Parts: sequence; C-alpha cells; structure tokens
Amino acid sequence: MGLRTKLPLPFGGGLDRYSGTAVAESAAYRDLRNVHLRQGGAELRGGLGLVNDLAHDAIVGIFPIRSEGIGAVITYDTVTRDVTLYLSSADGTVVSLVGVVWTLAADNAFPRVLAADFNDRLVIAHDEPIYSKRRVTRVYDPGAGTIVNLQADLYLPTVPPTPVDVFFRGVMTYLNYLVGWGYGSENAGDDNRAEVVRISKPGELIFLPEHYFIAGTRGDPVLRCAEAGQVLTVSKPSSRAVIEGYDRATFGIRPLDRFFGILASRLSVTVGGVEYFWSGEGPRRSVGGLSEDLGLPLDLGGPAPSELATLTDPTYGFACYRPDRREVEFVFGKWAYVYHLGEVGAERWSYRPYAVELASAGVLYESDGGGASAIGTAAFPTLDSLVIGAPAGDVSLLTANYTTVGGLTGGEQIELWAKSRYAGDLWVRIATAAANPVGGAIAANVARFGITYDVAVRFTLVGIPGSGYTSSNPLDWPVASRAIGTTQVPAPVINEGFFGAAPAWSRVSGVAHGFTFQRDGTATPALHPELLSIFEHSTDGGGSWTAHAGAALAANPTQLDLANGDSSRLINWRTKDVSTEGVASAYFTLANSYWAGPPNLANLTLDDPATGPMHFHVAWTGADWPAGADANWSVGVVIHSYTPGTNSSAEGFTAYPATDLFIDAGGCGYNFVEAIYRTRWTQFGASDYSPTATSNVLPGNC
Amino acid sequence: MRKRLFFGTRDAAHLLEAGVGFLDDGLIYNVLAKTDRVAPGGTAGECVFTSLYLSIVHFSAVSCRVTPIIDGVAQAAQVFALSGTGVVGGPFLEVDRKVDKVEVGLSVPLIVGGIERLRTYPRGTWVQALVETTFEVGGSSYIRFDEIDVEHEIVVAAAQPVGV
Repeated sequence: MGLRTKLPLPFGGGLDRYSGTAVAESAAYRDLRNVHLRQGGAELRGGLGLVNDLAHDAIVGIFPIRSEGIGAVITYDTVTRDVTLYLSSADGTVVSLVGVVWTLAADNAFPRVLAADFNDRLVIAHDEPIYSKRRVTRVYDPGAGTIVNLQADLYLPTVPPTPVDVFFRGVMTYLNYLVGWGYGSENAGDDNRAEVVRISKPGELIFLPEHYFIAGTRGDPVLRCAEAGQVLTVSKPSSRAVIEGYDRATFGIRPLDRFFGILASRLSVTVGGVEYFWSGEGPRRSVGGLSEDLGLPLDLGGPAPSELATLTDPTYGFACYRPDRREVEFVFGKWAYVYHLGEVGAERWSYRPYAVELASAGVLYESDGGGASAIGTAAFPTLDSLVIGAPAGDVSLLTANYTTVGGLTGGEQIELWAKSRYAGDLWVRIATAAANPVGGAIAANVARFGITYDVAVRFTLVGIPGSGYTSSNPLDWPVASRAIGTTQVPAPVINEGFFGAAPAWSRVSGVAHGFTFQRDGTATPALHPELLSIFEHSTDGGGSWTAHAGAALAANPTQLDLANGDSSRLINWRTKDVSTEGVASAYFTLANSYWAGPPNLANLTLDDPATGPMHFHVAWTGADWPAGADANWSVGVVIHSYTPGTNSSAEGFTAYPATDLFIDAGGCGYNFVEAIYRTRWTQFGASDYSPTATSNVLPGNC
Repeated sequence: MRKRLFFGTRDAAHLLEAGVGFLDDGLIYNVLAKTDRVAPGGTAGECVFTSLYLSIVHFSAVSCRVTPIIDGVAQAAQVFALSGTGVVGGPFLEVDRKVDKVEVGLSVPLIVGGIERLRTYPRGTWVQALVETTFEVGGSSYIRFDEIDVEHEIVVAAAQPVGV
C-alpha cells in the first residue's frame, strides 16, 4: 500500500439559486445547517433566547432609537388588529407600552412596518402596497410621549399652508435627511404615486412640495431605498435606480439596473457600505453600482428541500445582520439563508432552519457606559394629593403633590398630565418641571369647569420616561402615579351693558318677543361646551321663577324668548351653569328689572303754537328715537289735564321719522296740561309699548 | 457601543436575542454540516479512503453521526458518543472545553459464513463528510467541528487535485 495522507475537508460553499440548498453537489441529499463557519470549522449556532413576551400575537418591527440608546418594538394583535409601539431597553429585557400606532381594517393584510430614527423621533411607515389600505405615516416623539400623524404641506401653492397626512410606504434616514417613498407629487389629489421618492429638509421633519424624485415607470412601486457605497439605491421589483449627491444642489437620480430589483421591501441590509439584497432571482450585493449575483458560483440544480414548500409568503422575508458573527441573514419565516462574511474573500453560505417562525429583526445599540436594562430613569413619583383651586377667570389651578421614590441621577423632569372626562378630551401633558429628589408640587391651569379630571405624574430623563411610564395613555402607568379631582363651576355673569342699560329687546314673531344677553363681557369668552346655562325669568319681582327649558349659551350673545303674555312688564332674570357631570354653579341674578318691550324716547317737549284754543305742539328730536329705529316705530302722545284730572285727548300717534305732532286738548277750563307719551313698536302684526313718560307742564287756559 | 441582534416571532410576540444559549425560544435544533467535496487525486484520479479524523470541541456529553460520502454515494453512517466535562448551560470557558479527536474507520468487512475474511476500503474520486449532532431530549449544547480530515491513498493520480 502506498503513502497515506490526510486532507482537510472544507465546510460550506455556496447557495444553489434554483433549489435554495446550501450545497455544492447536485446529488447531495443533505446540506449545511445551523452553523457558524469559522476558520474552516463549523460550530453549532447560538440560539434565540427569549428576553420578553409581549401581550400580542407577533412582533412586526424592531428598530433602534440610537439617540436614546434604546429600541422600539412594534407588535401586531390579530384580534384587535392593533399595531402597537413599545419602547425597549437596548438589551430587550425591559419594555414599556407607548400606544397604538394604527388599528388596521379587517381586510388589511398582516402588516409590514418600516421605521427610521430621525431628528430624535421615530417615523413609522405602513408598508402596504395597496394605497387605499395603507395607514398614515406616524411619528413617535419620545420627549413628548406622543404618536401623531406625519403631516406635510406637499401641494403647491404653499400659501396658505395646507398640510395633509402623509402615507409613505417606507422610510429611512440618509445623510442628514429622512427619505420616504410611495406617496404624492406636488399636485393636490395626486397622492397615489408609488414611484415617488421624497427627501426631507436637512435635519428637519419637513417635506417641501418640489423635493421629490420620480424613479422609473409611473405606478411601478419603489419597494426600498438603501445606502450602498456613496449613493442611495432605489429598488423596485425588477429594476434599480440610484440617487447621487449629498445635498439639494447635488442630488440627482439615474437608472442603475434595468434587470434586477428587490423581491420585498425588507430584504435588504447594508453592511460596511455593501448592500446585500434578495432579488427575484436570488441574493445579490452592490456597492452602489451594478449588483453581482452571490449565488452565481453555485449555479447547480437539485431537489428542493421539502421544507421550502412551507415557506411563508416571500414578500414577508427580511434581511438582517448579525454583527458579532458577521453574518447576513435572509429570513423567510422559519428558514434563513446565511451569508458568512467573517473571512474576507472567502465568504460562504449556510442554511439556517429556526425552530420558530420569525417576522422581524433589528439591531439595538447600547449606550456607552452601560445602562442597558434601563429606559429613562429608575426613580418614579407617587401622586399623594390633588388640589383644585377655585375658578379664576376661565381656568382652575390644578396642583399635584408628589413624593419621589428612588434616587435621582440628575436631570430628571417631572411631567404633569391631565385629561378631563368631557367627551372627546385626550390626555395632555400640561406642565413640566425639574424633579425634586424628595418630592414637591407641580401645578398648571385647566380649562374645563365642573368636570372630573384624571391626573398623572411621571419622571423623564432626557425626554425618555421610565419603565412602565412610556405609554401615551397614563391609565397604563402605575396606579400610584394617578389621582382624580373635580373642578368647580363659577357663577356666570350677564353683561347688562349690551344694548343701552338693558338686555336688547326685540319682537321675534307675532306671538313672542325676545331678550338678547351678552355673557361675561368680552375679556373672557367663557363659552364652555361642558357647561349648560340655565336661564330663568320672573314677572313678580323674583317671587317665583320660570326656567327656559333647554336654554343654553350656544352662542354669545344669546336670545331668550318670552310669550306675548309677558309683554310690557318688568322682568327679572337669573342664570346658572351646570356641567355635563351635574356640577352646578351659584345663581347670578341681574341687579335690575327690565321692561319687556321697546324703550321710550329720551325726551319730549310740549308748547303752545297759538294756533287755536288749547291746541298744543309736541316735539322731540330725531336723535331721541331709539337706536336702530325704523318704520316699525311710532310715538304715541295723549294730553293730560290736571283739572278736572282726566285725559283731555285721545292718544295720537305719529310714525318714524317724524319729530313733532300737534294735538288738541279738547276744550278749555284746565289749570295745567302735560303730555304723556310712549313709543310703540309694531311688527308681525303685534304692537309693543314702552313705559310711559311725561313732558313739561303748561298752563291750561284758553 | 455594543450591538445586539433581536428577532420577533410571527406566532407570538416573543422578543428573542440572537446568540443566546442553544435553544430557539426553548426548542431544540441540530447542527448539520457537510463538507465540500474534494478529489485528492484529481477529477480523473482515484483514491482509497481509509479513515476520517474529526476534531471536536465540546463541553457537554454529545453524540454525533458521521456519514462519509464517496462519489456522491453515502456510506454507512457511524454514531459515536462523547463524554462531557460537566459544564452544562454555560458559561463556556475555554479552560473547561474538551477537545476530542475521533477516528472513524472507513473499512468494510467481508464476512463469509459468519467469519470476517477481509476488510476493504471504499475507492473513488470525490469524497465528502456529513457530520450531525443528534440532540433530541437533552437540549442543544455547544459543539464545534474544528477539523475533518480524510486519510486516503492515491491509486490513480491525475495532473491536479481538485478542491484541495
């Protein structure tokens, strides 16, 4: 027998583009699975250790918020169809609910989510190809603790501003910009533009109408933008373009590859300036130019593994990078293709069946100095008591007294949140102050009267709340951080100076007339929708009161009507406010009684024109007519004699705009005469009279 | 700044950290590694393959299955068990590791009338080795196949070996 030698057998080789098997031999019946390849050897890969179990049905997104050294985890609940945002510590052990990002419709597919950390905010896009089913792009602000719609004034002209909700299909950060794709040109109504790529203003979450690129054929959707080399690649299903440049003056787009695109939006990851992506023809990579096929050296046929038949929809595949092992993974449900980058120039493929079906992946970054398990601060406040002050003007002062639990590290802020239980009101952070190491008080004004307020406090550190306090709904926070209190209702005030010295009177129909009130003056409008104003009137000087059912200050001024039976009487008025929770104010009663009819002339003079025995002239000026006088007005005059003490003439009327009339006293033999006069308002076939007044007195002789 | 890769599951909202332990969310998996094929005597050459030598690093007791593949044809698989070091579940320190050198003979006996008359070695051009772990109920554990060598004797030499 000749010389025997030993020969090392190398592991791994490449990927068969046809079958997906990680082998180099067409007749092979096995492949390379669950390994890390290192220096010619193969070791069992590390497992997937459970670090948190969230109360939903899937995790559809994991994204870093690098400015805070934490992460965002987005879940989906198949029953409620809620897509929910959680904050996560960088090691994943601590998560805290933030709130619902979207509630999907019943006909929405299982969601895909793309998000980007930009300008200290997390911008979240719904990667839904059907525009009518796509949800609005949302923005989470860790500092404010809010999730709001992304809005932009995208349509020309921009004066006046007309911001609209934005429906990006995907977002990413590039240089100092936020890039979003799949939405809108600069023309109103031109929303569904799948081939559009928009770029924000540098460093700002602001999109200008004309700052967009059109990538290729209209309607052929952009699925993904990614960094590669010194450019931004724009991938569509079967082609790619590239955006070059570094600012508005130098940005430009050009076609890059007319034959290879990307299979799905998340099947791309950039490592060290090299973009690895999965095209319709298999894995490829690019450094900004034409891509190259990563499976090409292994262009072999072979039987497909039976497991491949159970692959999930490949459009739900995703790519990720395992930094500690230098491995790029393309994951399709339970199965992953792994490209080992550990040995430069000798990259190898392996095949990685996972024991569980995966939906998303993401790399989180720990902040320098550790603190991996913390979100915000570990200290927290307990809300010990809540004091609500008496109404002052249009507001009430709400003061929360708190005690600090745990040690402060410095820089913590306390936030005061409140929400009235009036329908439609939301939680609002109403005050922020430096947290006291022991405790203290934080106060702010609230505007609802007679309403129960839910109040909560929390600490934040660099804008990030502590674990358990990240939800935008403080009812999710620990019970000890909350309290409730009810505001008081101030007595309403009626302005008596609205029209002369009395509330304005008017005839409103043939059977009713009305009073118009101005409430509260003009300095404090005080038209609180949570308050119902109850008006009452009395015709017996306050002895009994009649409520005006349903009367409310829906507008200011408000008109209240009386039936004709109350005409030409002195009326008293009073009012109070009652909140929707039934809390009532004290009554406010007008100081004066008011005549239920038109006002009289201010002055009238009587003289003897010497045109005949006991023939008198009654005169007034045009300015004496009440303000707003018109053809409905007339003045009635009757001559009154002192001897024998009876009226000596019938009442004579002369209509607006007359300023005098002649009237006959009806005979001689009187000692004195005077004119008794009043105004008359005739409208809708009904006449209303002012109180009477008397003129000067003249000798009653012939 | 430390980076960690996390996965989210589709059937439950489990947040999983990659590279932690040797279970996928509590479930067992196995390593399966098949070497590239090589032709020590060249594509036109021929060799007799006498042994496989495996260098295995591990901590826990493991059992493995080795299957030689000659010219694409699987030979009889051999299963062997290795005793552990007592370290279970980690941390896996280098000082605690155990390195086993395993020789897997490739000879095949010729038995006539119940008596082994002679042994033969497989002969061919291409050779591969498939090694697998057989974790079933005990859970996965660290194992590394550092090296697999094939002992061979060239019978017919071609001009250039392939895959070497």
